[in-house]
Amino acid sequence: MALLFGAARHLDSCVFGFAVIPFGSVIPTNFGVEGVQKPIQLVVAPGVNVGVVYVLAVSGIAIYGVLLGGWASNSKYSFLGGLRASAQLIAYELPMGLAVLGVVAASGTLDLQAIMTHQAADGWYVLLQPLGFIIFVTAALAEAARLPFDLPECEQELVGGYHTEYSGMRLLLFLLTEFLHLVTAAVLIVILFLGGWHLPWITGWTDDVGWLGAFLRIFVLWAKVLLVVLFFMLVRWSWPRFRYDQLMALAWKIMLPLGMVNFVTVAVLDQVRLVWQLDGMGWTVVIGAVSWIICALALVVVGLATPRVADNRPLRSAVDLESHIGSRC
Amino acid sequence: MKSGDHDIKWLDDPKLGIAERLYVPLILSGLTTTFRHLVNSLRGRYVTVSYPEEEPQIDNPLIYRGVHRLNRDERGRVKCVACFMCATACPAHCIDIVASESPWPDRDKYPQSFVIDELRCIFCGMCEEACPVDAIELTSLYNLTGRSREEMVFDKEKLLSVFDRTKDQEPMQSTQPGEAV
Repeated sequence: MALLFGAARHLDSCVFGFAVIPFGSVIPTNFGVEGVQKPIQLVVAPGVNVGVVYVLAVSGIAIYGVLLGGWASNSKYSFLGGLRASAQLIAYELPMGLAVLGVVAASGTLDLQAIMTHQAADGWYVLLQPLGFIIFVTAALAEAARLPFDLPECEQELVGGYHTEYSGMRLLLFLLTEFLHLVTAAVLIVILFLGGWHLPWITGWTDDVGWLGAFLRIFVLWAKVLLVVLFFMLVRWSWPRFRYDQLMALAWKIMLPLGMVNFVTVAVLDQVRLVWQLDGMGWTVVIGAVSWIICALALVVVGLATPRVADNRPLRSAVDLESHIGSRC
Repeated sequence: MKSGDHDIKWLDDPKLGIAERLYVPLILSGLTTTFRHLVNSLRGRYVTVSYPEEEPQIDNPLIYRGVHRLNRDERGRVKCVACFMCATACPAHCIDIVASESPWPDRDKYPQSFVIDELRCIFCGMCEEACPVDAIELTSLYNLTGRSREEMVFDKEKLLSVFDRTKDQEPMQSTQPGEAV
């Protein structure tokens, strides 16, 4: 029972998220429902104005799934696997939150639909907040436990991680969730940073659409999602896996400060725009350029601050000291 | 354990350059490689070898670890001196040697029977390394098949016949005892 509970928690952390994730823009007002004057939103739970918070909260449940799943197995290896996995998920939730915070600060809303509309009017956030995009994509990879960060179940090194003891339909729930996480992450990346249903000169940028436009927007959104998924797949075959200490160091020592830099940049630039009334396309380009420069600078600083070797063996002096002490005891 | 110990070889990681430490250039180069393979496969240049329609290319047969052979010396006799070094070195315990007194004056013993269970062998090549007279060698024959387990237990004659089959393509690594290449 507990086994099933863990697996189910893991799955529904993923499925719940889709309640507020729009799968298109709107369908036209003249849909034919009496008395409905507003365009009808293509989302399971329309008008949830805390969409971003909800998605983050629900994806936080995934940690319970992993932890309970490992614990319920009554096997110390599964339990350790669950601990490893939950430590990773918690570590990457923070930079992810910071990256999302930049988007929320810039668009001024928590509604995923409104964030897309905002990007359609103002420019995609991947161009305006490149640092936030990089952080979010990295954190999303880690949250979905995709390859450079798939330490919860690295199949070449461990037997299975937290779901070692599972089989049959319950294992399927875990594996299904893993892929569903990938899709959720891709959808969020597209909605928050890649403009959602918006494609310049093709889809328009207001809620005023005809049937053709409505279907085109659905198509554009999911085409983008598939491209992001393709990117995740390419990543899987390209990059080697992190060591566990590197994984943690990346989250806490690199991504978290970078997330701070991103948020401060976005907040300051936003405030500058607001105070000096810098409206119009030209200023958007300038703001975008400034954030790209800051992104490059931040990455260079981080790069220069990282240690020159990726070695975690004991130092030679430490080995000598140990043998010295050992010989005296 | 002391770091100054001569038996311990300290290898230090290569220092990371600026490209490595900036993450992004290396990430991009990794993606480029994958993408190049993707494009190549679309253009019909596959990395996958469609075995068995297509035979894989073995780069260097001399270092490939396939089926064993027992080498013959220049007079056609088995080179082995039944010293049991290979059987001792074998981690899978797949070599079984019965030694008896040599009929030839140049050595004390020779293998009366020399049996390798190819199904137990893990093809690690340690027998080849252990052999003091370079009598046992691993060839580049990789497609070892059989219809029964008994068939896969190679005796002396079969191992010598492997040598006869492969001696032209893969010359012996040494002709004199103890002279390894």
